[in-house]
Amino acid sequence: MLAEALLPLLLTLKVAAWATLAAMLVGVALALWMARCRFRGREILDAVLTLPMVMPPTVLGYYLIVVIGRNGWMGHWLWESFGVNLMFTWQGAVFAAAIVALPLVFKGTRAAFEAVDSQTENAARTLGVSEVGVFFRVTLPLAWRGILAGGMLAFARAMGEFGATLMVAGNLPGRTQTLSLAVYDAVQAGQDDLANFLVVLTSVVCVVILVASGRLLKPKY
Amino acid sequence: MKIRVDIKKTLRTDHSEFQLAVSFVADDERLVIFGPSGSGKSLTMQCMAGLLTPDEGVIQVNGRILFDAGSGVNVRTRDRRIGFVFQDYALFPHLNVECNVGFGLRDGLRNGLNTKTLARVREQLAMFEIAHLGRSYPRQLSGGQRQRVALARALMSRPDVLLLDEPLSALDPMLRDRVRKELLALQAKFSVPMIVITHDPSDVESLAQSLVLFDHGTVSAVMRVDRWSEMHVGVESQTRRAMSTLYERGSDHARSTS
Repeated sequence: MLAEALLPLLLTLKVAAWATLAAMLVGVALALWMARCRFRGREILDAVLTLPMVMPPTVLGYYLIVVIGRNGWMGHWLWESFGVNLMFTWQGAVFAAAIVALPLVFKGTRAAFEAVDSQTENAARTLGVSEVGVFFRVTLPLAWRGILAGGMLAFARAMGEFGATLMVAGNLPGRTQTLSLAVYDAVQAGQDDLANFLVVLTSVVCVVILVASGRLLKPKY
Repeated sequence: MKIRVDIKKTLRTDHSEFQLAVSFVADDERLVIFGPSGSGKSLTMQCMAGLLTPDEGVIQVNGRILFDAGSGVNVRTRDRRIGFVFQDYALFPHLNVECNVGFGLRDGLRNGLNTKTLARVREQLAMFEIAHLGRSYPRQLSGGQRQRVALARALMSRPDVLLLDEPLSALDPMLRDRVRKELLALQAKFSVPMIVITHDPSDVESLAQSLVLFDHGTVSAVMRVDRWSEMHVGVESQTRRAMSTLYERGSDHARSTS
């Protein structure tokens, strides 16, 4: 049973880690941009980026197929130029999980940046420190806990991703079958012991992550 | 200190518009900007520090042009050599007192002090009688201690002029008198010109050499305080009268707009 659980667990951790990394890179950059710059359509962009959090996973999965499928604009381009296909691969699962996790990183990071008192940043400027210095010595130290908490929530969300992953990456044991998909299969096949084990495993990991991110979000100052 | 401020700035929010059009010249070591809240005192100070850019006009300190819309000069905040003590002190909550005070001594990407700067910071802390607080964090300090840290921090890099935005308003009334005396002593010790914003007439009485009266985004009067004593009129009664007219006009204004 352990062996049956190990493969999906490792794959899940791999997919969630890569998805979180990608979501962090894109989400933090977007959040910084949106917290700093005022432009038209800012709130509309915010809504679009939050969409994956509220949309039905199947709808999101469908969109992803349209984008990265063999006939989708990105999938077609990837196949033609690099011979890369994302559909029904673990990389495709990463893509789906990253899109689903992005709003959590983005929202958390934007809130963290906007919570930094602009007066402390101004104080740093009057003390003769450059803009880069202000960011790394004031803004980031005051915001990193919120950013990290967003990243941990994104990781938890990426681990639990089911619908969009199923549509994009399928449910291939050993290749794209993550924990949540393995649970589904185990229940369908009547393997209650395996299902129980996988469920407990997933729950423990998620509880640990939530407790840790809750601790990070508690104000320290 | 010679200071010349002649600026215009229009601030718009969704529901209202505020016109700032102030002009004053002063050459005293202690200038007090006095007026009711919402009269544009803080905005003017932010323009002087470069935290806010005026739409037009000139700002000059000791002959050095910091801002001139005409010739496109706008010195960056970090190059203005202006010390700023914010109303809520704006200490860095994640840094201890030593790192707060020494913050401006180094640029770069990391916080922290080396041996040489640490020695200078400790000297400064001793001068402000807060040497024992070096390792404390802002949240552990009282209001008066925070203010000393903010002052020590602003004066660490020897600025050309020190701006204080309502430095006493966040303090216990019992403390204020003592802090006024300390500010005077400090100004003498560091021989740094000060500009102080206040809406408390007692501050005007004890701190001002020159007084600039603000009213609805404009300067309504500039006075030398020593002239008042020549006229054998109590400074306090003068400012109180000035203040009461300001407030009356303020409430008239509020009534006419509401």
